[in-house]
Amino acid sequence: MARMKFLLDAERCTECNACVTACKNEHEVPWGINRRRVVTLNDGKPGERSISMACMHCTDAPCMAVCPVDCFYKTAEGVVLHSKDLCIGCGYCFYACPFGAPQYPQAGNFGTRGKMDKCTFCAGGPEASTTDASFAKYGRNRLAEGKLPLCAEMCSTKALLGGDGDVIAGIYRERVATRGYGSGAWGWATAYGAPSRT
Amino acid sequence: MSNNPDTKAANRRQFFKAAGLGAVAASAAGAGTIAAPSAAKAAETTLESAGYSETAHVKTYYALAK
Repeated sequence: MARMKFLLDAERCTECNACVTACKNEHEVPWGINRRRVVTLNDGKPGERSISMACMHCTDAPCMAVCPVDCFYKTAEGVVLHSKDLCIGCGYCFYACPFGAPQYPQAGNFGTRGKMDKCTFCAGGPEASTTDASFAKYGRNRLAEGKLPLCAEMCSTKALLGGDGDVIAGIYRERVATRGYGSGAWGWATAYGAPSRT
Repeated sequence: MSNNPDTKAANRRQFFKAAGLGAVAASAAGAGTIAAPSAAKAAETTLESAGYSETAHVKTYYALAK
């Protein structure tokens, strides 16, 4: 069984924000919510890197672990989804998520936030994927249409890879071998030492 | 009814003990009824597929991403 994953090649990301725009448009995400965003580190300095960030559909997802109403579930392909009917908007998942993926549509009195919204890997929600109600809550189900997340599909430099983890890891490995100076991934130098570009 | 203060205190303690046990039993029963379906649901949905299949469209994406 394929395991769905996102993988960002920071060496290729040009911070165009097209993934952010495409996601927002495809799912008609409400104002104030970005399921995906681009974070730039060391902006304007040597070694600047941009990383496109959304829900990473963790294998052992912390959001699932902390949810008091157990509204999260995982599909057979490893996509972490949630039910907006069960969500009480407590915000625990927001604090637990290391990527800041969970988003809330409102900030009201007494700490009300509304139902949590996050990247669905373009896989909809627990309801039938073709209904208007499902689209309004979770967005389009491109996976069921035989496609992949739009952010990854339309990335012009193919910096953002999405799909079967084994396949995209193979693609990335080929790129690294071709470059010949290490991965170029953000955080690589911290973990494995500075790459030598000789 | 006894006017003995020791007996009155004992009766009061019996009442609170019974009330406390009743509340614990009720909450445990409630939690059981709520938790059981959600656990069953989680087990069901774990096996559910999101619908991914390696279509021609997906294969084209993988080919172009190299």
